[in-house]
This record gives sequence, structure tokens and C-alpha cells, in this order.
Amino acid sequence: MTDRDGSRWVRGRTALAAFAVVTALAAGGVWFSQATDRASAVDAAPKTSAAQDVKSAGRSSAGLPGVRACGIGEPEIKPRVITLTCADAGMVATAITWERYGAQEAEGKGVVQVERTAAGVATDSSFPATFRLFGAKTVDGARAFTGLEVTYERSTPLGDTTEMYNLA
Amino acid sequence: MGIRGRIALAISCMTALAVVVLGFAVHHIADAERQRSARAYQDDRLSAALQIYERDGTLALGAQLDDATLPLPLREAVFKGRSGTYISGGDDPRVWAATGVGAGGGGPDPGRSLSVSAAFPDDDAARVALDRALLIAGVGTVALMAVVSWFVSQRLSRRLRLSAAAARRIAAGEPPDADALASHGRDEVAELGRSVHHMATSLAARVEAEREFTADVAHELRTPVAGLVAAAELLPQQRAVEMVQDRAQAMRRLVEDLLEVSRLDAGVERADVDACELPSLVRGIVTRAARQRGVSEVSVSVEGEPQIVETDRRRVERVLVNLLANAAKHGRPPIEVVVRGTRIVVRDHGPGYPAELCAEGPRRFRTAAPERGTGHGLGLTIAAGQAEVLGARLDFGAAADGGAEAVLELPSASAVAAGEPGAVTAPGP
Repeated sequence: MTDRDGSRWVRGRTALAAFAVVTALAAGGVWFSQATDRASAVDAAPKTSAAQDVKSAGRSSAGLPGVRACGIGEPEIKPRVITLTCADAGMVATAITWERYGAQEAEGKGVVQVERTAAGVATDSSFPATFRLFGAKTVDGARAFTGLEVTYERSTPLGDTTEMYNLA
Repeated sequence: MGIRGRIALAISCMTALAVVVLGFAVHHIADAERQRSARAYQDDRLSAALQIYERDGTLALGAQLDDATLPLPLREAVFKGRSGTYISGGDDPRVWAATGVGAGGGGPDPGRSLSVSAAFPDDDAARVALDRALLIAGVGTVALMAVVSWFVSQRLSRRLRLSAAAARRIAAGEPPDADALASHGRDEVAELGRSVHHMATSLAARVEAEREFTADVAHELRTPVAGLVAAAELLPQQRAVEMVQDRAQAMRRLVEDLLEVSRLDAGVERADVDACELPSLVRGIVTRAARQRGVSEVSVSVEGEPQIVETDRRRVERVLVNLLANAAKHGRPPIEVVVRGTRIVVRDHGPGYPAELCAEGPRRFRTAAPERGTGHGLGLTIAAGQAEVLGARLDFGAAADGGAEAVLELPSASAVAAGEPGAVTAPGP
């Protein structure tokens, strides 16, 4: 009796182990194939979609100075993007959130993005930074900031921790 | 392959399997994360470029309008009014992000597409480095586990081998060694050792009891049988006398044989050696066997140089007479005795020894095959026991052209002199 019980127990254990292995292999295979499918599919671009939705917000002038990057168009109050290098638009301050936006000075945080050829991975092309706007003047009949100070928080694109830009 | 090799191999295989599975998983997750971050980065870029394009009408951060190389699935998604990211394969894998601008903007019918892209090489340095690190770590882990498991299993197998050696010593007749077997461990190996020890002790006790019983029976039978033989001679009728005498003699031989077997079992027999010329010794034995035991039709031939051997004549005679008696009783004549160097070969032309006897040697009261006729099975047992006392080898086999062949190989004179001068002690039961 004992032997038969033992062999039944062994058989049960073998079946259980085989079941576990097959299940694990199947789950792994599904996971693997799903990932392969995902690689060649169009995925969502949430930030771009958000930018499409909030277009032309904050244009209303409430007497505050705006920003007129590269001297194009109307000065924009609390802009979310500012072009830093006007010649090729290869350096752009993006995703700016303004913590303080006054008549004389404004301060906010964001990310400086640098266009680099063959920059496939994000790490060395996005630079978190603090932005300070100053030198509010009346340009072409509208109040606008004329200076921008960029202070990088960690790594820097050009070597200097602080960079000064002339706006308008 | 020994148990230690098998354990090491099993552990190494399992480790290798685990390493391969883990390596693939890590590689796969790293790949997925790399794609995710590349897509997110392009999304960031495109959202900034889109805002600048919408406000200033300039293309920032390398963005392009209506890029002709925009992959088809992404182009379709854009013109359905969706923004998306995409990784294209082919010779130049790139990661793309695109959205619609122009007439309807992000609406259902955008006029133009705005897209950014960056190279997404398969042989990315970080990816190659990760794969190399995984490979090196995997190989290292497997090698390390192989070495570690080898040492661990060696400890286990060393204890098993110690137990086996102790069991062998007991089988060879030494008393059970309590220290070697009764280890104090609590695992399976220690339990096995203890079980072997108990088994050996109980077997030894049983064998000893059996031997004592045989000796006692033989000893107790001897006196009445001797009296029976003497009394039979006083019987009046000639025919009855002959029958009773014959039976009584047979019984006495059996009792003598039993006593001899029990003495051999006890291991108290010692060979009393002196030098003698083997061919003349064998001839004398064959002549006496013909006279005393009625073994006739025996031819003796000598091959090669006659040898002088240091041996116990009486015991050689016991061996040879028992072999000859067995051949005469169970085999068929002619019986041939060949002396070659220190070897004596006895062969007959009967059906041969049973296979069991050739394989395991003779056992008392075991006559095995019906074609070997009846008997007590003590003759060959005594022959084997006496050969052991002499330090000789006695092999039972089949002759080339049929029939039984027993080979007694005596130790040469020099071997005896070098080994144990004067006496050879038989091992115990």
C-alpha cells in the first residue's frame, strides 16, 4: 500500500511540475510575442496630443510682459516653449511651468532639448533647467522680456551652468 | 559517472537554465524599456516642436513637415487625426513621432504631418554592453556553481564511500567498525551508515550462530556414529553387516566433513608448509585416491618443468581428492589431471559444473543441478576452504571441449617465502 501511495504521490508531483513548466513557458511566450508586436505598432504620443489640445491658451494680455522668441509674432505670456537658438532652432526650452510671473521678472522650471543627430536615447539630449526672464521693455508697442537666464540643474549641453539669451 | 559528478552536473544544468531564462528576461525588459524611453523622448521633442510650429511657424528641433520617409502605419494614423510614435525596422531602424498640423490641426483631417525621428540602432552601445555583461555573469555563475556543487557533492560522496568501505571490510570478515559506520550525523547518509552497521552486526551474529550450531551438531553426532560403526561389526548376518557398515561409514564421512567445514568457517585452520615436488605429490595423491575412494581411470600428465612448491601436502590432498571424488561421482571418465608449473587442472568429460557454482563458488548442501546427481555439496566447499587456507586459487569452469574443469593454482615457493613464512591463516566466515 505504501509503495502504491508513494508512486501515486510521485506521479502527482511530476504532473504538477510538468504543468507548472508548460504554464510558465506559455506565459513567457505570450509576453514575448506581445512585446514584439508592440515594437512594430503605432503607440500613443501623450505629450504631443496634450499640446494639440491646449493650443492657443494664455494668449490674453493682462498687462504682463510676454516673450517674443526670435522676434517672430506677438509676445506670448507664460509661454510653454521658447526657442533658444534662432538660427537652426536646435535648442528649445520646453515644458516650462512658471512658478512666478511678474511685471519685472518671471521664474520657472523646464527642460532644454537639444537637437543632436543620431540621438536615439533621451538621456544626453534633455537638460532640466531653471529659467529666469528679465529686462521687461516695450517692443513694437507690446511689453516683452528681453533677457533669459538658463541655469542647468544637472548636466549641461555646452559646458556652462548658466547661459544668457537675448530675446526679441 | 559517480554520484558526485551527477549532482554537480544536475546543479550546473539547473543553474544554466535559470541563468538563460533570467538573461533573456533581463535582455527583453531592457529592450522594452529602451523602446519606451526612445518613444517618450521623441514625444517630448515633437510636442515642443509642435508648439513652436503652431506659434511661430518655424521648424524646431529637427522636425520636418510632410517627411516623405514617414512610415506608412504612422502616416495613416496621423491622417486619421491621431498623434503617435513608431519604431521602423529595416536597414536603418529609426524611432518616429508624428502628428497632424495645418488645415484641421489635430482634428480629423489634418492637412500636413509634422514629424521627428532619430536613429534607433540595433547595435546600441548600452545594449551590447548589457548583453556582454549578462553573458559574462551567466557563464561565471554557472562555472562557480559547478565548482561549488562539485565540492559539496564530494563531501557527500566521500561519506558514502567511507560507508561502502566499512561495509566492504565487514564483508571481508573484519568485525563491524562502530566508529566508521555509526556516525553522529542526522541526515540520510549517516542513517544509511548506521543501517549498514546494524545489518552487518546482525548478519555476523546470525552466521556465527549457524556455524556454532553446525560444529555442535557434528561434534555431538561423532560419538554415536563411531559407536554405531563399531557395533555394526558385531552383527551376525554378513549382508546386513555390509549394509549397516556402508551406511555407517557414509554417515561418519559426512560428520567428519561437517566438522572440517565448521573448522574452516571458524578460521582457526593453519597451513603446515614444507617443500615438495608437485608432480610426484600429485601422482601419490591420485594413487591413494584410487585405492581409498575408488576413483579410477585418472591420467596424470606434467607439462613444462616440474616445480618445487612450499605447501601443506595434507591440505593439497584434501583439495585434490575432493575434486577427483566429485569428478568421479558427477562427471564421466576419463578424468585428466594436468600439472603445469604450480597449477593443477582436474577435468572430466561429464556435463560440467552448474553455472551458479562457476559464478559464485561452491556452497554447502547445495548440489544445484540435477545432472550432477545427489550429494551433500560439502566436498567442493571443503576443497575451496582448504585452498583458501593454502593461499591458493581454486577456480571452477568449463573445459574448452566440454566437461568440468577445476584449476588449483598454488602460490609459488618464493611468494610463500616472501609473504608469510611457515603458516597461512584462513580468513573467517
